[in-house]
Amino acid sequence: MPSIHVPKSAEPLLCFCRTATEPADNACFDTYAEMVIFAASLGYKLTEGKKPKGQIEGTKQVYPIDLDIFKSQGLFQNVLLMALATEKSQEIIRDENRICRLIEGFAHQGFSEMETILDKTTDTTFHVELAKLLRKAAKEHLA
Amino acid sequence: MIIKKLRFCNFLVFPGEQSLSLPSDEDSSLVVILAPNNSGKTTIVRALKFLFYGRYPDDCTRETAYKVINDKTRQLAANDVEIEGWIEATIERDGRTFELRRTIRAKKAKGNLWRTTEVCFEEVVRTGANTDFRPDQNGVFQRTIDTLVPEPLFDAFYFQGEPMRGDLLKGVFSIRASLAGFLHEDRWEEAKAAAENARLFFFQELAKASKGHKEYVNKLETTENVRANIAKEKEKLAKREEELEAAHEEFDCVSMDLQKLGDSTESEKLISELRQAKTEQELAQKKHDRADADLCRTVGRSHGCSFVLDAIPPVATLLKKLEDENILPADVSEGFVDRVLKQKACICGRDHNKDSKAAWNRYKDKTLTEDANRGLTDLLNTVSGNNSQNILNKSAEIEESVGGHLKLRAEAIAQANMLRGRVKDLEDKLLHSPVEQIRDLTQQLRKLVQTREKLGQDIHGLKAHINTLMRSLEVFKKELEKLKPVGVAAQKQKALEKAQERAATLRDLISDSLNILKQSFRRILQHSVTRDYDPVATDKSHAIIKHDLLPALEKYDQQVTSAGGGQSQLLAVSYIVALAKLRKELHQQLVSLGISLGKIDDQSFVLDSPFAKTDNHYSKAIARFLLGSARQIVVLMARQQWDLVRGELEKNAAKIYSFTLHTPKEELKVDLKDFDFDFGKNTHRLLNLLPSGDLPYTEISVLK
Repeated sequence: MPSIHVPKSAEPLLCFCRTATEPADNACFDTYAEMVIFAASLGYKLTEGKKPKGQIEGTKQVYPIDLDIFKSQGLFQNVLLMALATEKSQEIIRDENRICRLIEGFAHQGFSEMETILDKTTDTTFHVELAKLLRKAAKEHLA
Repeated sequence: MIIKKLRFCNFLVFPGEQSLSLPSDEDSSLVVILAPNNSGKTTIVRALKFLFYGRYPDDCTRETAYKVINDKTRQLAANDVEIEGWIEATIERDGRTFELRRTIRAKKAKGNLWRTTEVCFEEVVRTGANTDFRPDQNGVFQRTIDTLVPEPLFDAFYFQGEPMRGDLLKGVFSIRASLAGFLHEDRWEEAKAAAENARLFFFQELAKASKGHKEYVNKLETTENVRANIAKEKEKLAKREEELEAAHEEFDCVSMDLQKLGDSTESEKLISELRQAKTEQELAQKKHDRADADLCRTVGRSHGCSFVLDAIPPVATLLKKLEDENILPADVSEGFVDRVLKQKACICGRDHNKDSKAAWNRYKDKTLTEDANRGLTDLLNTVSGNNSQNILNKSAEIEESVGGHLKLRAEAIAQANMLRGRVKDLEDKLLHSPVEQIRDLTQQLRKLVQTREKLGQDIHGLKAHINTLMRSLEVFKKELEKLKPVGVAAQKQKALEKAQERAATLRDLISDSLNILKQSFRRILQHSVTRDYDPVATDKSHAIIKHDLLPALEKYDQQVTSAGGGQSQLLAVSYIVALAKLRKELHQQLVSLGISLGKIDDQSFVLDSPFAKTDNHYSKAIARFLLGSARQIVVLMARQQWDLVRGELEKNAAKIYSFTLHTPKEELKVDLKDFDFDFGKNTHRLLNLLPSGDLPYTEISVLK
């Protein structure tokens, strides 16, 4: 079963997932899958959809997440959106492992950016910074 | 002491020679100087202090006195050439005038290093076109000034409203120490002591003369001891009575403070306000928490969709192509094709052949798995359908929702900050007010009651003791009378007894006179401050002069401990004027008695910003009061004060000067409108802008 590894770069941010051992008060994400999709989407935006290069090292703190989990949590359409937009061909749909590597690459970029943001702010206002980032992206498109 | 003219030369803000002629010919000559802020109002008072006592302005010392010379003058000075700055006053005394000048001379060396070369105090003697300078070699001029205006009284006669933050009474209380000297209390004490010494001398002579008469001498000594005891006890009594009066006054003050604090509605109001503020604080915190929770939820459930909006156009095109090729939605799945190919016959009923199998396999290459089909169908809805799943709609909702939550959060934070300050204030007020303070004050009152009781008992005991001693004295006197010697010795003793008696009478007379004099001063001062203050007060307070001759305000027979700025200012001004009048009257009386202490003439006053911190009503009252209160009053004021009292002073002032500030724009520290003074029908802008980098200075002009 194809699965997505949570990148090692996500480690400082795992506490912002409610399923973490000691979640932060302002944990935003209900599941690690939700967190990975958020990070991958951010990574997609940062890299302007360019295919990530190289293999991403996964963390040992969280088990790899089966692609089915994404499907069952309604996150698969986001996965497909990024995959199709990057590959520009429906052929990618047939290769779920490739899809997984692609998402891992984007997620790594996203988590790295999130860590930089976290360094510049305090733990307690991290969610505010993420919200502002999200709003900025939405506004750009509305404009 | 009346100042007829003030001349400045390169002194602080005044470059070159500039002067102020101060009229004093009429009973009341008010001089007004209109001076914008930073133009040198306070310089006038500082210059007088330097002239009178050699006190350097701006914390300068003898070494750094060169700084008193105008900056611009120093800037233009050549190396090794001596320059000078001085202040000179023409002073009226005993109907004639004399001129005194204090000068600072300085030289500049290479590297802009300055050295004060000389500071001198001289009389200026003008004869025709000639001007001579007589140095104050023996300190004669200095002593004259010290007599005319003792330094401790300087702040009272030449006071600065603004530096003292309008609290003139502080200045008044600081001159209490000099008041004793001012009233020559020390001389009275000296005279009293001299009379007592004389009496003792005659007593010793009497004892010597009666050496042979042992019983008489013993009785004489006993009588003297009793007399000395009576004097000591009387002194103690006077002291206790003073202490009792002070205790009564303090008791009144503390009672009033306690009454204020005991007003329970005040405490209850504070507690109720605090409770409400804390409830509001909790609500603000909840609002903050709710906004944070909403933000977290929005971020988590966004799935980052706003970041992938750029992916929509290419994916929509791709999906449209799949739709066109009848692949999406996939009614026929890959599994179905596999199942068809496993069958012998095709779905049309004919057996599979090579061509049909190849066609099915080509089709199979494009078919989707069920998951892929479901995913792409959902994606199609997400990118193209106009529904709630549409990613663009979702992103717009996120934008709106995050904006709303951030706004609520910011409001909650601002509200919480404001409430935090309010809660702290209220807590401080509660902490510093009622309970603790009431306890302290009650304790103080209790102690004061005990003190009063003890003093009352002491006084009662002392009076009784003095009465007993007086009775004993009378008995001893009678016994002494019986033991009196006869013959020639008796005549000598009688003469000595009389002399001793006269010395004792003189001592008591001096003592009583001092008390009577103090009472009379109090009455004079009381009359003066009552006349000037009471009719103007709007809060039913009235001015009183206490036993220590200092002023205070009383309302409903209780001393006012926290008078407003206006009341304090008016009381201070009227008290200072009353003091000057009393001082002049006292000296005149002493001179008429043949006791010459140097003539004290009318006093001139320089008031720098006397209307600071006063409201409209009291400013006008002070202005009206100044017009008729002394032979010469010089008032310096900024625009805001002039606007307040212009109606009272413009027509009645004998002379009006203006200080025009010349300064580069970058040096301006106040608003331009503060330089606009209305005078007559015009507005005068007392400002001249200089090119950037020039040094500021002040120019004196006559307006009226």
